[in-house]
Amino acid sequence: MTLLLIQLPENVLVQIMEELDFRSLVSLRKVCHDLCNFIDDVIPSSGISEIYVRINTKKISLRFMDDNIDFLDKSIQINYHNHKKGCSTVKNSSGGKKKKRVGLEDFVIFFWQDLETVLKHQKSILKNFSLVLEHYEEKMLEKKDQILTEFSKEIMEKIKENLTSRIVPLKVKEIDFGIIDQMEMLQILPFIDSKTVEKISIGNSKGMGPQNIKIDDITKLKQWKSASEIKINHDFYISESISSFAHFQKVEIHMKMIGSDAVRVLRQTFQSSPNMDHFEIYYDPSRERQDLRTLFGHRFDGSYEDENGGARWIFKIRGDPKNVISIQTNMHSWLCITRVQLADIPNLRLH
Amino acid sequence: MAPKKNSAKRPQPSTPKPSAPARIVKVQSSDGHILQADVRALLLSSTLAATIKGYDDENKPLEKLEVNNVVGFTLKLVLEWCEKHKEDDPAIAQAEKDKKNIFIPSWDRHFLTKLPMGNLFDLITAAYHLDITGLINYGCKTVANSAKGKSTEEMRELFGIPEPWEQPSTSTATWDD
Repeated sequence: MTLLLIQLPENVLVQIMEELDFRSLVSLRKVCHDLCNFIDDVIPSSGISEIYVRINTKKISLRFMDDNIDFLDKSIQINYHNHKKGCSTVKNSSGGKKKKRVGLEDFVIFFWQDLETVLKHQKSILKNFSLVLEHYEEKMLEKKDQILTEFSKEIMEKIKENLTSRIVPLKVKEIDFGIIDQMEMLQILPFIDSKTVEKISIGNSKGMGPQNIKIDDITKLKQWKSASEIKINHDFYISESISSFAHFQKVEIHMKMIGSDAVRVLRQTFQSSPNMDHFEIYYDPSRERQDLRTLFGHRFDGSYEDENGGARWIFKIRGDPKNVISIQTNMHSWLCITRVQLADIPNLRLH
Repeated sequence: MAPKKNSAKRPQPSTPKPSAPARIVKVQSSDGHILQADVRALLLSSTLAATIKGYDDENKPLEKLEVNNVVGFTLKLVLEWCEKHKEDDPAIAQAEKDKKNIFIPSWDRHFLTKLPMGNLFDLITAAYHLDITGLINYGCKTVANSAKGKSTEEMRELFGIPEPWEQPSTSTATWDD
């Protein structure tokens, strides 16, 4: 008398299920009542390592990378379309492209059921979690922002509710938002495990050129304070003070103007924050009153890679004899300060 | 001339260590079959390793090990696998499991995939009772691989589950092919 799948020892059955790709696990759950109950009780961890969600009023896309897929292409993308009568989906994976009508209910419902299932089985640390609210899709409409903001409110609420009701918080290394207002991020970021967040990226999803963004509430979060890398893309102007970024290891931001005071604070930050390695600022040339290059004195006259990027200056760091600060800037729109090992710069004469 | 290396002096890795002759013991299945096995192979089972150590510590002669929860047919498969892997370090299998980075060698793939699903389940269950991490890993992965990419109906056939079952209305249709 041989055994049935469901009769295997529990640990073994879980190990088998955790080897399955997500789609196969969902199929297995439908095989019989016992397996369905087992999966719902034990909730095996999936092999999903990255989740990307993009939302606009007509279409929601859910893409994820599943490390348990044996093909080179480990991604699955499902687009949920608003259909005259309910919802239609397009699924893209290594198995090809499949279109179907899935039902009469609203497409948001189908999207949410699937994301909820994915999040339920998400026990390992996600390498990447990305959420983009595609405000630019509505460019042609009036009151465009309100429409998507209104539309996405329900989904954002659901995600927030899901994240806050988890026993173990969702763990993410890199989190990436496409937004137009910090409020949109505040629905999610505070509920991600702050211990695992390494990098935060914020992009402007309006697509109408650079705009100001306030991030004061985000900078108060534990997740902000424990991350080591921040990137806020070029279409957002930051007016936050340099000191809000002092704890990061790597910073890439865009400011309307920098000014000589900020440059001084930046140089002090490299002295006082041993973690800070790289601070890159893009700025608006039309607003900068002073050519920043006049602030730094003698240029470094040795040769270096990336000489086309702009002139370079090297400064000592008090209390850190092994490293120096390197400042590189082009004529008018980019400033990059990095901590460099002294040994990596030959023929250096420090002024 | 190639740079002088002292590798020539080292013993070739494939040469077995000049050790004492294999220590063979009898192993009895739950249905009374008596098989023979090299103690080094049996040490891959943490359960049997503990029993053997118990005998050795007390200097009691070990003549026969009784495996009460595995039938002869399955025990023979277990011993065949252990014999093939008796040089393996069990710590490596544990590390593979922890990292979820299990690679099935070709001998094992052949050995496991030729078994009917029911026998494979029996073998994995025996490996579980005897605590043989490597065999559990390869067995579980083999079962998972055979199910991957299949539809619900195909899985029912694969696992011999006749019951047609009405899905709960909450499960979405997005994933079906």
